[in-house]
Amino acid sequence: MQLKLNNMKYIYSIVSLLLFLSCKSQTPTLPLYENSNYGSVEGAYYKDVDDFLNQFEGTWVYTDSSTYLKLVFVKKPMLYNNTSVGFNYYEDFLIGGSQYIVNGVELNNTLSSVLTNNNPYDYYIFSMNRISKNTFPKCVECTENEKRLSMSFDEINTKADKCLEAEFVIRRIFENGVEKLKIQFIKTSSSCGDTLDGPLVTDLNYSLPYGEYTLVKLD
Amino acid sequence: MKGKLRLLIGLSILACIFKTSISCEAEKEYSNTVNTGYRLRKINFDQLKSRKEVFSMFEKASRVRQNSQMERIVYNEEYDLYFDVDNILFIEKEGYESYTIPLLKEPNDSLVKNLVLYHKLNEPIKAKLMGYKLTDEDIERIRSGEVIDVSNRTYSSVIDPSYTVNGSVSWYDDSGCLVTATTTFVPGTPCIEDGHTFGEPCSVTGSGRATPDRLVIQYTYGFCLDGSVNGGTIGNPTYPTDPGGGGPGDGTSGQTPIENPPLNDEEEDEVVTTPVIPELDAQTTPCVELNKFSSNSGNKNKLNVLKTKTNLTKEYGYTILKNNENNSYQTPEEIQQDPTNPNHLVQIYGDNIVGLMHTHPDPVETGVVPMFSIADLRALVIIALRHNNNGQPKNFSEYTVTMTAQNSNGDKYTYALKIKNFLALMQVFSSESNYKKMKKSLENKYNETTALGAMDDLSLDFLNVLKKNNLQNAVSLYQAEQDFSSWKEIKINPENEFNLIKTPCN
Repeated sequence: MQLKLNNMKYIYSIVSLLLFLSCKSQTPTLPLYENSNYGSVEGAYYKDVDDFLNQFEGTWVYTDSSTYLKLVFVKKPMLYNNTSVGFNYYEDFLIGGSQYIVNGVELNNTLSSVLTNNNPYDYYIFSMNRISKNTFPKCVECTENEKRLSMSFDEINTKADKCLEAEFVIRRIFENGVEKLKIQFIKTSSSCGDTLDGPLVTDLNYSLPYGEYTLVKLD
Repeated sequence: MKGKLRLLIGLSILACIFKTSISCEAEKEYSNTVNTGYRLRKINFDQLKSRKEVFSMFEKASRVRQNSQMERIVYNEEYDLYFDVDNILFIEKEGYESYTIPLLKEPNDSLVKNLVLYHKLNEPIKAKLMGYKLTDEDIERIRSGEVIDVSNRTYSSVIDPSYTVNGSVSWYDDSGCLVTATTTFVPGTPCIEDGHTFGEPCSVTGSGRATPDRLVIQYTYGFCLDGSVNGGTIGNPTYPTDPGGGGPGDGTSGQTPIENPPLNDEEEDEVVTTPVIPELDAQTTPCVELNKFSSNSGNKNKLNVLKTKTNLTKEYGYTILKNNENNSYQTPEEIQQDPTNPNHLVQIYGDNIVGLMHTHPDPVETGVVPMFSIADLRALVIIALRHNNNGQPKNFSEYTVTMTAQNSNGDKYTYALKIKNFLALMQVFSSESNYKKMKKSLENKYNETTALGAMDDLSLDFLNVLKKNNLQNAVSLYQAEQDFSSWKEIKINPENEFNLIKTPCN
């Protein structure tokens, strides 16, 4: 009886080991950044191996006499980057939501979207690439090897537009021991409407004005 | 007993998990197979080539001679035919396969012709030339995804590569009597987003359109009851005369019949296909249109003006305009800077706008990459979509986006993007996810090369991203001579993917 039990345990162990090895070989883990073949392996997992995205997680706030800007970022590991063309693979993303209030009037609020589970491109704010100081928009005050994160940014009223785009580039700094987030927000493509061939809309813009912002970490 | 049962259950569970874990990607279905049994898929020339026996039959049937300037257009010198090998429709059902390859339509040819390679599994590949008598309106309706009834308008001819007489192909059908032609409606691909109902616009971001519905036609040929081998059309048998011109008529006049025509020694010969419209007009190509564009003095003048602005920190640009009545170029109009960002141009579309000429600012000062962005490619798509052509069919090869920039040494270059396959472009760009993914991928590559990198390296980055997204035959990239007297098409070298080849446009 004891011998039979031992045999079963042995069989289960061997099969489990084979399963594990099989699973590992089907989903190679590759670095998300500094990878010249990013996006070229079907089914791969492009992982933020340096935990570069982790530094941005949390809640950040900018406020002055009339405006209030709040950003919330969450790291979402291993989201499935699935589209109808090209390779499909898994990838770590930083996703986010924003709230913008002017003179007590809320002009945009996408904060609750960070609590949902979506296709990465369905979030209002999501990470694009890690960039150097000399990549547009240039960062004059950055140190030589300092890296920033470019993100795709949208608001409730702009998400549907097919063309409106802006560079939304963030980097974390410490000033006098206070953790802060610096943002460069620059328009790069005008609006065109909700469809590529429908009514042309060229005057749509974000409620958040273009420019540079410095936010303070809340938590 | 209990122990054996536990072992069996345990191994079964593990086997299920194992099977799930080794399953890699979901196959990309392009058609709804429910209730039809047909699987339809658009494939490209490389995929056809990977089916060696099918490609061998294609080579024999077409006597391939590569055209050095337009690789995707396969030219058959003997039959004076062009095959649009970028729009091959693959149909399969229950052990049967067919590949339908459209021929480019000559303006004076009344028929839309498709080469169909077909077989049952483990049987030899056969070839048949199908001809459909379609009006220009029919063609546009099919291109836009409508299903057209081609009853009484279909012609066919066997292509037996072992069999030619006097170097010509006979156009009367010698493949046996048409016994039946049954049609099956196969709906196109549903929207990729969950919960979408076919036929409705995608409600989730992306507005991806479904791929077209198809009327799949199964032609069954057999011996005629009297032993003859006439027939071949659905309805009254009539025969087209000359492959290159003229409409249906007496198939024997001016033609040399095939001697000892091959008998169909099978009880039934089944051809399953549906009309496939070629994407390119045989008489105009992106190269031809690009040369026309830059040889126009007004356009050339503005291209030269833009060369003087590449060292600035703003974008500059002009719209390319055509008179819709006589299709001639008009004086380009300057595009204004965006008041919300003076470094960037307002985008304008519609009316008689057929293109855009613009600069990218100084890469050293601004960090902007001196090569096309995905947004530039999207602009080309929107220009084509919104051009008001007064309801006339669009010649997609006439739309252009140019980009003039300088490298880190101050050397100036002008590039152009042209459309080769608009449907393929739309299928990608109608999805927001596709666009963002391509944008991310291209910016990732540009980050590696940097804005100060060599222009050829940046061109290679751009072309690699197109290739990764199956757009390498939908869009073409060109580089101008410094005096704009001619252009060269830039492609990834098929022998070495890290190099480019540049082929002059004639």
